[in-house]
Amino acid sequence: MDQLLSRTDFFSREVLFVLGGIYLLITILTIIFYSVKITKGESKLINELIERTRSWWVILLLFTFVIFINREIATVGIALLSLIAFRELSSNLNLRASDRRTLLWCYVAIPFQFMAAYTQYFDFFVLFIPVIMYIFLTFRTVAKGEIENITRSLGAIHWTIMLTVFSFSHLAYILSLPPREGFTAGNGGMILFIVLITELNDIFQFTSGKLFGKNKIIPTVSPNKTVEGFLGGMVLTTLTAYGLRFLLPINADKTIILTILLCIVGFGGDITLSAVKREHKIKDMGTSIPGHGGMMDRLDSLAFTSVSFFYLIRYWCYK
Amino acid sequence: MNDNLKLIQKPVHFLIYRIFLKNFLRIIFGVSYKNAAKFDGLEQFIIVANHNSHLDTVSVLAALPSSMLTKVHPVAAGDYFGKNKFTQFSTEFFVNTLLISRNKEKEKNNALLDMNQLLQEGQSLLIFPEGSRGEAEVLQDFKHGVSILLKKNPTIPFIPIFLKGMGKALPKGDPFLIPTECQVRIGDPVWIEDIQNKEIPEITEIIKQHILNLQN
Repeated sequence: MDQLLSRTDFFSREVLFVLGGIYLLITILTIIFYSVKITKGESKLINELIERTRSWWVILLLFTFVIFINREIATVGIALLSLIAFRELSSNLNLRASDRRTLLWCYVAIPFQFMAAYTQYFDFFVLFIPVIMYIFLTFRTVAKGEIENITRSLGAIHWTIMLTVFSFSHLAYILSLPPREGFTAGNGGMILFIVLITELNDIFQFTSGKLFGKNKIIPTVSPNKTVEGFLGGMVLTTLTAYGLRFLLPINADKTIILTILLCIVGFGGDITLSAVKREHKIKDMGTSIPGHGGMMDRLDSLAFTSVSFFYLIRYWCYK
Repeated sequence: MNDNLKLIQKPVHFLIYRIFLKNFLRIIFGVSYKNAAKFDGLEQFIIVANHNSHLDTVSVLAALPSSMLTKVHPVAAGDYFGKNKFTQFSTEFFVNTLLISRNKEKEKNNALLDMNQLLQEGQSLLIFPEGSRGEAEVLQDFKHGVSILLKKNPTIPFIPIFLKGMGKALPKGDPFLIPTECQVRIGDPVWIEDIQNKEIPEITEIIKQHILNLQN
């Protein structure tokens, strides 16, 4: 067993321990939902919950086998995820027909960005999309010669590639960071932490909002988001993160500061995508995950937390 | 096409459409399939779909159950796809097309006879009644060929399919395919009631309505 695991890149003891816990939890949930279905009969709620749990199984298995086995598979997998996220978002923004060439170049940019992450070419990694593509995509759009609504397209396309490709490429870069002495969880531990904490924050905010929610934060964008939900989610997430701090190369104080930042940024990502969906009067970004909608409906918070996490950790540990 | 080629056509189609194209279109190009189970248990049908892009034909073929793959013949324009021997062979072998002429009045009748012949042999057809791809995401007027065939063969149902977003992924006159969320929406098979006593334009209107219903 130990020999088998040592051949993989990111399955450290800490990672296995936490992943094991998640599998146990979802197994228990599956058993509960199915036994409710069998004893109480079918209902709309229970069918929806079962469909969601089924999707969670698929996501969890994919996550386990794509991210942790080796860095090559993981980088390609995250690049594919960026592509799907970019496709979903750009399809839903009602871009002009004349923006097709600009969009094509965005897809061409994806492998370059992930190659930079894989080879740890940091200068190119941070310059490529925010500076080089920013200039290039602008000129390419203008060169098409179509001026109607051009400012909107210029903004929307670069914003989309930043939100999907640039941000998720940081997950790939986390896996490429050099090993640190005395830090046994490894890069796999960090990626597990950021993904788990971001998703848990969504879930905790949702549940504490349902239980205690009263004062709406921003009703025009998302009527379900309340101050109580936000704060309750933050407290629960920070407690969980404190328990999971062995996954990170930083001490307890820094873990708490980091997690509070992640909660705020994750909330921001959540409502940003809600606002976009509300403007375009769509419920889901796509249909790629049954029961959950599209990829960007699940990963809205992660688009912002991955970047924040990466630069804070880099500032503290990899300077 | 000779018989030897027909023999290898089936496994080649299975590999291309079921294994490769379906997953490739789904994962990279964002084509999603709704209600692909509607084909189950049907032996023969005419698929009627709206037409905006070259992506249309392959997407529909990728949605078919493997048993039907080589039995469905997309009807395509001979003046476009039959330009030279090579394109003619490759469309006939890989896409299984029935090439027809859409120009002269006399040849139009021949085209209908060809299609009817295939139906008599137990084959199925994929027809885009708009005739050509036209402008992206705009439904043009329907031609009457499908109605005539349905009236001649009242036992064969038609399956309406609405293709959404294909004209944005690969519009007419643009060589680049750009990943875009698009959908293949498959409707229930329809046997039009009392078809013998209906006029041709009336039948065309019914077909068009079924496709429009899938749009919303």
